[in-house]
Amino acid sequence: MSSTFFVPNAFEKFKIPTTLNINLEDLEQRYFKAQQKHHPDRHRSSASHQESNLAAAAFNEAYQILKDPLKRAAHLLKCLGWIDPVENPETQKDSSLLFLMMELNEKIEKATTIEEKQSLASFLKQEIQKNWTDLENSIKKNDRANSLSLLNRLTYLSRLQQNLIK
Amino acid sequence: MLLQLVEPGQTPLPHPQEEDFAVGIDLGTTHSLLAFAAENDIPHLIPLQGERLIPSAVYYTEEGLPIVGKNALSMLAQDPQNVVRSIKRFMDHGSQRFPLRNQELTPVEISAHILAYLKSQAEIQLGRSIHQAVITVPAYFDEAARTATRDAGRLAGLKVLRLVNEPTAAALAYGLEKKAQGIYAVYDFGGGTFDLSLLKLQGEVFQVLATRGDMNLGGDDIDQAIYQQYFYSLNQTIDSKQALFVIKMLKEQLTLQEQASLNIEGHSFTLTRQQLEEIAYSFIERTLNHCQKALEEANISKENIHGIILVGGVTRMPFVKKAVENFFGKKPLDDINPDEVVAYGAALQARALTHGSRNLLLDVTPLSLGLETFGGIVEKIIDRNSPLPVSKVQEFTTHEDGQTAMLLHIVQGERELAQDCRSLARFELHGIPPLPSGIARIQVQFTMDVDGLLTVTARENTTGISQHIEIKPSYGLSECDLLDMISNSLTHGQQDLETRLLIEAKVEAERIKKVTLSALEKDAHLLDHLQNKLIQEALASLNEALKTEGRLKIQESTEKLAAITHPFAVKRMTYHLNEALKGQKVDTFK
Repeated sequence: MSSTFFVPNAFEKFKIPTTLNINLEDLEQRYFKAQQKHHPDRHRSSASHQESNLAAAAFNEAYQILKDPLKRAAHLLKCLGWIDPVENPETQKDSSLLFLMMELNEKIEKATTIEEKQSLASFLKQEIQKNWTDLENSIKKNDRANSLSLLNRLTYLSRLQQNLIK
Repeated sequence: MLLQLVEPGQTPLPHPQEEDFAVGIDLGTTHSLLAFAAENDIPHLIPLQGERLIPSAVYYTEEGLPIVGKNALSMLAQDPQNVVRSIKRFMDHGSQRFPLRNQELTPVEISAHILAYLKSQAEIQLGRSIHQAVITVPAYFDEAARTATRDAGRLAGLKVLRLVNEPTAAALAYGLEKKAQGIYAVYDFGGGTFDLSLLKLQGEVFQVLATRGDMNLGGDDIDQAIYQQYFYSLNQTIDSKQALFVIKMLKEQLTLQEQASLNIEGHSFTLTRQQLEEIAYSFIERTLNHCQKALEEANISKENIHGIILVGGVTRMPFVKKAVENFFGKKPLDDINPDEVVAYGAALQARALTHGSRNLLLDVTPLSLGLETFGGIVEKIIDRNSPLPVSKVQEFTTHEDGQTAMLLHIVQGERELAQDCRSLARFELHGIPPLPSGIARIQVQFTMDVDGLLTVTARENTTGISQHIEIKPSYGLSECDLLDMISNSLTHGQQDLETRLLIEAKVEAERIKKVTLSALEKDAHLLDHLQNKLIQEALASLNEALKTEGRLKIQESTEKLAAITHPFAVKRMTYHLNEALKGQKVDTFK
């Protein structure tokens, strides 16, 4: 069972450049404008009601992808043709990442005081910021392998961040 | 000459032949309301039979005919078995049957009786027929309960233009009337359900960011807990339906008083505000827990919330208001009546859908949608809080050579195992071309529309053969059942109407008669000879009218009796109040 993307290129859908960093406020305005035009409530009495359902759904999906940094990064690499749909990036071997994850997981489990948790949270935030900048540069340099590995790191780091909040 | 340019497929106004009148209905657990918005976009509540809120109660007469509203509640005293309250709590079990008189009715039919009553009464008030409505549902209603609500509308002869989530409707009313802008939390604690929705109000867009809730957490649960704690052991002779209704009335009195008492059928019931708050505490905790989680999931801090909108009858409890204020660190808004705000929002949306509007509601699905896979594990297809409409395509293949059919089990919920989620439907995909295993490519598209209702389409990609999908819903009513019900109600509709009006008139007449007789029995000494004579005459003429079976005559005599006994009622109230105050210190009544 595999899920296919309903929107092949979310950036093109909103007519914005296919880049890692985007202007989120501008994206939101474009999204609202698209929904004003395509939302099924605007097509109540017309025969195009069902079509508008799908059109609005496509903009919804594209918006959900782009507003989330991690989903956007993965989508960008896919649009660049760098992610092979058959190859699962998580199976790639990255021993330094594995080691870091084990260490951090242990720290999160042991963290009991608010201070400990806060210091871990700020560490994770810094790491994510650093990897994000690296990813941006790596994409500019057309470095496919490194970009994929950075995306992988970012995925794990965000997951840890979410675990920490919980 | 100026021409208005309209892009194809995007008409700002509906087609001229289309009906352009629609009302908004808040079909509540405890009360239902009907409102409509006129040209100036100001919503009006339509009082039906002089009441702003119509109790969502139905009484079934011996003939099996439904009586809705306060007249149904008044039958709780005599015949609680045939009174239905809070049917909304069963909407997610659309096909469950309740034995009432000689029939077995589903929640859909009972809700349809409430809607039909609202419709017919509003038609009389407005002097025009009503065919279209926007109906509100709790944000946390699942697909089954939404489908049931839409079916109830259809059964009542209403085209349901849209199902709108209650918190979203409330935000729309605040946004348009109070020009609210920014991020708002809607705290909706009703008779049966709790919803918390976070919305961003920006210009003309009302965007729901996240929603959480509980389909089984409402004022009714507090009543039930009070019943278990204080009343059940005390007095088991009284019917639980009656007791729960008494508790509800006591609870409402406690909004303004510290202690409330009622005397029903010789039984005395007392409840203090402290008792109520002790019981309500754990329920309120649960709602605040949802608030906390919703904020975390949406990644919004309390400081970023511009305002908290209160919706639902339970929020009138001072204790609840205080708890919400403490949690958010801000005084919540209730300048639009929390009982009425949802109906206003529904009316505004009904107006927008029939006359066009720049305002746009962007809502989300409250629950994830998934498919059962091997070992009963759920694979998520649509995440909760996804903006609607949403459409996902999933590709499947066959596992055996020559396989021509496939079973898909769709569930709704957040749990890992299918058995812990709500089973929505089992789809059988037939007509897959017989190919070696793994060759067929079956694309199944799941689309959830703006009402939160699901449609599924499938096609086989290698051959391009269009596929036949057989839907076997494991919930609700089949289309066949529903069509049956509709045709039955149409055939019986005309003759039913006059019979029902007559029965309603008789029920009301009997009620007034009973009240008058019992008042005379207790307090006849308050009346002088002439007053007594007038009342006796009115009673006699009502008895005569009842024998004739003439509806207008009965109604006339009832009204006359009500008018004549009015001064008596006032006298009794003053008298009893004075009696109650005798010997009490003034400071008890601060």
